[in-house]
Amino acid sequence: MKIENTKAQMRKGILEYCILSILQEHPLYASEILTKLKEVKLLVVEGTLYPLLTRLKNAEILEYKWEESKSGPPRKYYNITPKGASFLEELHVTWGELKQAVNNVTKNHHEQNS
Amino acid sequence: MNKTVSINLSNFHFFIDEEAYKKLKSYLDRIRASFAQEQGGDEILQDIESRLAELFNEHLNDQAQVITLKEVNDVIAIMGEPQEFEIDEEPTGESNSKRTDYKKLYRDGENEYIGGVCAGLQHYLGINVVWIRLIFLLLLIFGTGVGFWIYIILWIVVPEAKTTSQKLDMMGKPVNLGNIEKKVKEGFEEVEKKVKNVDAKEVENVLKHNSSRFFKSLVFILTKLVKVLIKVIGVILIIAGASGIAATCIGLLTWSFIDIGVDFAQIFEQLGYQLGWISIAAFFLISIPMYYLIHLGMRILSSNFKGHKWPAHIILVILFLGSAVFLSTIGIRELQEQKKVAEVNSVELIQTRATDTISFEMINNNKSFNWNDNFDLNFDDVEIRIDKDKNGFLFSEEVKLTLGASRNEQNQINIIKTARGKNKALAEKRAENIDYLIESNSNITLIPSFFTSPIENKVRGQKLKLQIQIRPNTYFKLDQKVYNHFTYENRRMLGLTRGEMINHTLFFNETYELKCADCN
Repeated sequence: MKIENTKAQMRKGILEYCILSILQEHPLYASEILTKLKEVKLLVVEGTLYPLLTRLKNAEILEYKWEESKSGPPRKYYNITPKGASFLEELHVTWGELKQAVNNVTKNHHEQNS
Repeated sequence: MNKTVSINLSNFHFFIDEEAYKKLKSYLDRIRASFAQEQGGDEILQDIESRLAELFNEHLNDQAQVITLKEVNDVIAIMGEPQEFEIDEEPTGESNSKRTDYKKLYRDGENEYIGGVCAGLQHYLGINVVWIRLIFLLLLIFGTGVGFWIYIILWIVVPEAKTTSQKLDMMGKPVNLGNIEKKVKEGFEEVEKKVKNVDAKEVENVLKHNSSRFFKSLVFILTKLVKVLIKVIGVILIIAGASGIAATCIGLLTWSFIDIGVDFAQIFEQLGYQLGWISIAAFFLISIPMYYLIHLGMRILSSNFKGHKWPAHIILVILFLGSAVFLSTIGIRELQEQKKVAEVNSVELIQTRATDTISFEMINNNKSFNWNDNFDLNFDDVEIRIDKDKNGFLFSEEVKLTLGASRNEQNQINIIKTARGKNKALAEKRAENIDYLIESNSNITLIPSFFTSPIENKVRGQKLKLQIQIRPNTYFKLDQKVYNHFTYENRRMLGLTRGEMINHTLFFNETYELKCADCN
């Protein structure tokens, strides 16, 4: 088991979760999603986002609509599908549990160490 | 100073340094290759391209209008290399690492002749491309163009292998039944998904994109077709030119060398033509344009065909023009020599007793002539024939007969000879030189059906008219051949039918009407 793989998997899961959370509030196009993700330093390279978006769309968790923009060609505005909403709901719960669990474990661990 | 390239990135227009362009293109190719196997790979690439356009727009300002290597490097650093995108590269993953191990059908742009369809099929089917092309050609020729349409459809439908991974797929393992089934299923799933995901706006965009692609490929196909057509025309030109020259040579050589007992040069000289020069001029007149047809054909077939230098061309053009002038002078001279017409009249009296019946008979061949039947050079009505001593003479069957009642108490035949010439005197001389001999012995008058003339007189519209004039109440007979030489008007004027005239005893009455003495 390679550490890189573990990290990558963690990041992928978290990234998907974050994207869905960002889109939950209102539809955004790719560059806006990128800005938000970069603010929280979740992305190393921008290219990562595009395959993810397409896969989520193919999995019918996301959908998009073309919308005209003032400063260029039409943009794809991504939005969460009902299926995606329940998927996100599930992730919320799981994340809450995970956070709790991780917190407990790491807290105990840290306390033991200190 | 750098050369710049103009690019369209997701409908944004950019100027980009050539070096930077190369880098950007290879970067995009890498991305495309890494998503080539993935469903929706095209879409990912489009999204990335449109983001790249956005990033370039942010980087460019009024001072810097051209994308340089620096901008490309910056943007690639932001976007990341394709291998960095893959955050879920699990060894056990099955969903997106389904790199196929069977072949895909691509057009092979590197080994194309027209569109690379045949070359692509070669990799796909594992058959040598020569056979595939042959099959297409046969389908084209014998399948009433089926091959053409199959080719065009494959050309439009089958993508060209552009990236390395596509090329690898193109040359991958041979297809087997299982693979084909899998591929077909995959294809259906894809179509199904596409149908499900229809979105009006998207469809519009896709259609726009595809129709522009379609027209682009249509134009491309047309240009290719025109290219092939031009090559075919080139081949046709070469064949036409070569066969033209060959035909001219064969024609002229046959005249010069095939021996049918005739000395053409002599005959032509007697006619006033220099056969040698005429042949040479005719040869140049025909073969030089033919030669240029071949030249043009070669030019079309191979763009680096140079031909020879300009002095050679000038010589050829001069030869051509010279020949044309020479031949047209001969033609003009010919016309001038036919300018005037002259007639020469003579009278042949038929001596007979009043009670006799005169028989007019026509002879086809004067026994004194014995000509060579192999040779017959025909100029309108006058021919050139060869006698037994191989000398040429003019010969014509242009003998017109009329029959009428005599008003001067004589049975006679008026002989009217006609010929043409440069002036009246020459024409008259020619007319006099027409040899025609009517033989009258006892009651039979022999009328030749032809006349001759020495060859020196040349073919100059020689004609002969005979007017048979019979005293009233003199009996006479005509044979069928004589009747056949009567002019149409004369036959009508005479008023009797063919049956009543041929081989019956005829006479003119006091009012100059033709009567049949022994008809029922």
